[in-house]
Amino acid sequence: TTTTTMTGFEWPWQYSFPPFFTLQPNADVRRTQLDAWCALVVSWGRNNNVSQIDVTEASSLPVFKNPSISRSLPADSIMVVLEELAKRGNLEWMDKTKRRGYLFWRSPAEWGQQIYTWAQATSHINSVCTLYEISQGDDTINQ
Amino acid sequence: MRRRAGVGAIQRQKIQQDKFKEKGSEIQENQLEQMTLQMEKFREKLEEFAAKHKTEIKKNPQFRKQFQEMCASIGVDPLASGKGFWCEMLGVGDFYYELGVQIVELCVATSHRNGGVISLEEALRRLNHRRRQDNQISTDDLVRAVKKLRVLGSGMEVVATGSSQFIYSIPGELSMDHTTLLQHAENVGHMTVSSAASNLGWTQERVGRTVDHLLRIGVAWRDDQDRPPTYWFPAFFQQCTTAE
Repeated sequence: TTTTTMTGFEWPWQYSFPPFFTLQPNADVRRTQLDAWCALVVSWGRNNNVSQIDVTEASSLPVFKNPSISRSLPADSIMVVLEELAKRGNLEWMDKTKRRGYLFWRSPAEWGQQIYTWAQATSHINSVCTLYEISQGDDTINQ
Repeated sequence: MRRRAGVGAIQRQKIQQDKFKEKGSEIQENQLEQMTLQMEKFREKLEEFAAKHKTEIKKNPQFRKQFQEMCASIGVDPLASGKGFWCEMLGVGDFYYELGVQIVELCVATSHRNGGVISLEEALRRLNHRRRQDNQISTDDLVRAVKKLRVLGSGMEVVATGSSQFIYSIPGELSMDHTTLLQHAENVGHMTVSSAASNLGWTQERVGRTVDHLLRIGVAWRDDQDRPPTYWFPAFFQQCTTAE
C-alpha cells in the first residue's frame, strides 16, 4: 500500500518508516538513506512546483515530516540532505550564507544528457541552436 | 587319548572357516549383484519417466516437487552434476541454475533497503511476477535453488525464523544471536534494547552487541525520535516488502 495525496503524489515506502527520519549511524546505510531522501525531495519538488528552498522554513515543508507517524527530519539533518542535493547538482545555493537555494528537478548533468539525446535525435549535433529553438522549436513539440 | 588340538586339527578348522567365509562372500556377492541389477532397472524406469514427463516437470511446481522427492528416495540428485542424463535430458539443472541467478539478482537489487534479508514469500511474489504464467515457481523451488547456491559457496542460505522463512544474502555469517534476535524482530516489528532483553532473557549488553551488527549491515535501522531509541527492520516492514 502506498500513501497518496490528492495531487496523486506517491510517497515512497521510506516515508512511512519511522527510522527514515533519523540519519543512520552507519556510512553505507546512510548513503542509501540519503539517496532516498534526495530522490524524494526532487520528485516532491517537481510534483508541487517547488523550485526554491529556504533553510529556515524547510522544517515546515510537508516533505520533511510525516504527521501520521509523528516523525519529522531534524533541522541539522535537513541541512545534510540539502548539502547532498547541492553536491548532486539538484540544489544551487543563492549565496554563501546558504540560506536559500534553487531546487532543480533535473540536475544540470541530467539536462545536459537530455539535450544531447534530443540533439542526436533531431540531427542538431555540431550545429548552433538558440534556446528558443531548443525549447519551442518544431522538433521539440513532443518533448 | 585323542587330542583335539594339534596342528592338524587347527589346519582343518581353518579350512572349514575359510569355506564358510567363501560361501558367505558368495552369498553377499549374489545379493549385491541382485540389488545392483534392481537399482539399475529402477533407475532406467525413473529416467524413462523423467523423459516422458519432461514438460510437466518444467511447468508444474507441484509435480516437480514430487519428482524431486521420488529421486531423493532412491538417492538420485538431478541437480548434482552439471553433466549427464539428468541435466542434459531434462534441463533440470539449467532450471535451478537460472532460478539461482534470478534469486541472486533479486537479493542484490533489494539488499540496499533490507540489508540482505528477504522473506521467501516476498522473493516468491517478486520472481513469479516476472515469470510467465506457465512458468511459475514454488517455495520448494526457491529453497532448492538457494541450497544449490549455498553449495557453490555463494553465501546465501534459507533460514527459518519464527513462522516464516528468509533468504539471507549477507556476506559473513550470522550467529545464533543474530538469527534469534531477527526471529523476535519478525514477531514484534520493532523493539527497544530493554524490551528485547526482557523478552529474550538476555542482558542489555548482549542485545546491544547484536543490534549493533545488524545496524552496521543495514538489516536494522534506528529511530532516535522515540525514547528510548527503537530499532526497526525493513525486511519485516510491510510497506517495504510490498514496494515496487
